[in-house]
Amino acid sequence: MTYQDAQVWSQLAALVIFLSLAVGIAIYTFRPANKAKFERAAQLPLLSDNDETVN
Amino acid sequence: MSAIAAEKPALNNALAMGSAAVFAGLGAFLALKGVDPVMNLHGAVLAAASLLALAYIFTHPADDKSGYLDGPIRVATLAAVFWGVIGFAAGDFIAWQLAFPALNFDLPWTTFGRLRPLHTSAVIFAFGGNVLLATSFYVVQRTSRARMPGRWAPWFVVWGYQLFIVLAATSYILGATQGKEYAEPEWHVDLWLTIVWVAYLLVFLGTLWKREEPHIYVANWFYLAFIVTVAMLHIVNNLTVPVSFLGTQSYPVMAGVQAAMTQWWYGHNAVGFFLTAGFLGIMYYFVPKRVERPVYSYRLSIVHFWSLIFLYIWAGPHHLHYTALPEWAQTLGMTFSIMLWMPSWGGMINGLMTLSGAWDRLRTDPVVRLLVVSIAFYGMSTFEGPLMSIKAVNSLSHYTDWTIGHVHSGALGWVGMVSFGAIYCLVPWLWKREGLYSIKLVEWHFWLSTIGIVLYITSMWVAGITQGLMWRAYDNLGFLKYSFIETVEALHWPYIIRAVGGLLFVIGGFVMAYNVWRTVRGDVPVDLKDQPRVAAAPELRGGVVAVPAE
Repeated sequence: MTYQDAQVWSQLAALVIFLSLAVGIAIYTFRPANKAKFERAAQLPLLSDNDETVN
Repeated sequence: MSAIAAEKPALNNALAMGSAAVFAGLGAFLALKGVDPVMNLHGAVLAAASLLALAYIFTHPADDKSGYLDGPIRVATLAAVFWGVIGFAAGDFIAWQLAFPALNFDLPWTTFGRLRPLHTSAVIFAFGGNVLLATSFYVVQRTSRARMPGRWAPWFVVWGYQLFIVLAATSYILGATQGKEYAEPEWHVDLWLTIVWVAYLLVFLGTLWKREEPHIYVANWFYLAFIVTVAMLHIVNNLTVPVSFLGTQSYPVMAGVQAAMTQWWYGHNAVGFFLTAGFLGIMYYFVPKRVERPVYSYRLSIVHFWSLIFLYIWAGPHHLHYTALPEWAQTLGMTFSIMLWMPSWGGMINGLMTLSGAWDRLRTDPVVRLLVVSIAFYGMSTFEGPLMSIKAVNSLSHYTDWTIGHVHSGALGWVGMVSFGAIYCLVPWLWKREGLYSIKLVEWHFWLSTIGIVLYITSMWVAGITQGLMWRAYDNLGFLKYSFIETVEALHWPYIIRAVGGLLFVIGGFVMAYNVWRTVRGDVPVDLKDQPRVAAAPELRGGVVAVPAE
């Protein structure tokens, strides 16, 4: 394998990995099924002051 | 109580005392056998700190294991205020030195070259680092509803970090340095920080592991990215071979352009992950908390997080435009810097819009004003940075004071003010007070800092562009129009204006220290009626207002 080949294949692999990660994250973020979960998560700083609930 | 449960604290104490004894022995050895005075001093400091830790553990065998572990957070909060004032003052002193070089005093220990890294490390690592330690430990416990694990580990993280600061600062003053910007400490101090940092990561992960909440709140993602990335950057950029295990001197593993690229991969991601991701963790918790509203868009916060960390890591080469670095790498650094506009402004909008419906808080609560203006400065400096990374702009701005101005609009405006906001929130919450000693003094601090920053960045724009234009001016015969010393002379007045701006910022720091000290001491607040309900510690906020049945 020449340097050129290694360069092409590693760049292609990186492209596939990063692009699929980005697409995966976008799906996770905008999936309607996750809406309720994120709405609850957004409330977390406002809910959790009570010391007695500590694990 | 089972036998195992009874044995665990004893085992913890034994392990902690054993480690302290080992470090005390190592310190004593280096103090006596070290081959240079800095190593002797550092050995003695390590031995003394370890013996103090040993004595403390020995006299405190019982574990008060209830509720959140806030002791280490209190220490880090006070340490942030303490180092902050020192770091700001050191910075202003060297600003005056640049205007009046006689202030070098012709002593090696007080030259600009030694005090400048003292200033940068004191404000970034000592002030900023302690703010991050305090807020991350506070936020991860509250949003996970879990106590930090370990009897001594969180204490070790906080006090071990202070020891790192003392070792680093004494190195610089005495002239022991690697000469790498923001990575000046020599190999033995780097190793100590690595140990502390791994303990920090484990304590943070351990708290997440114990969490009662199924979801990990977004602020913790930012904190975790900060901790993990800083560990990686610190280790790779500090790969050196010591000349002797008993001395401070070492030589780096990499050389030439590889070393330069590694250094700015480190340097820019210190900005991206230490000074940005970590402090965004503060924004995503303290802004919603203080205005009592959830973040504007949780989805945007997720996109903000992933796009920010994917893009930032590639931006480093913009520090090496027009150098021996291959041109494609320079262009890559520039391109990724420009792409960073999107997550940065997405994050800014998310922070600012959290106030929608509560904009009156900006008028009534100076702590909110500190937080909001910090986000505005985040937007401003993350607009300016990508602009300066464009090669054509960089050919004018590079090596000039424009860079210094840019860094300080981010450091004073964004990092400084979001930290002040968080400290003013934390102090009454941690010391169980009804509010701050004086909200009026917060108002003073806000205006002193804001006016100081404006003087700082405007004078540095003028200075930087003047420098850049003078350096590239030719006469009609093709000779350089100005000698270097003429550009230095032209900067005298901008330097004085900058130092005055810095002085206002330093005075603001002292006002904060005074206010924090009076609050911690438990003095009765002078203007409690002007403070919002959320200024009080959670247990002192009074009963929940009754909601009529529907």
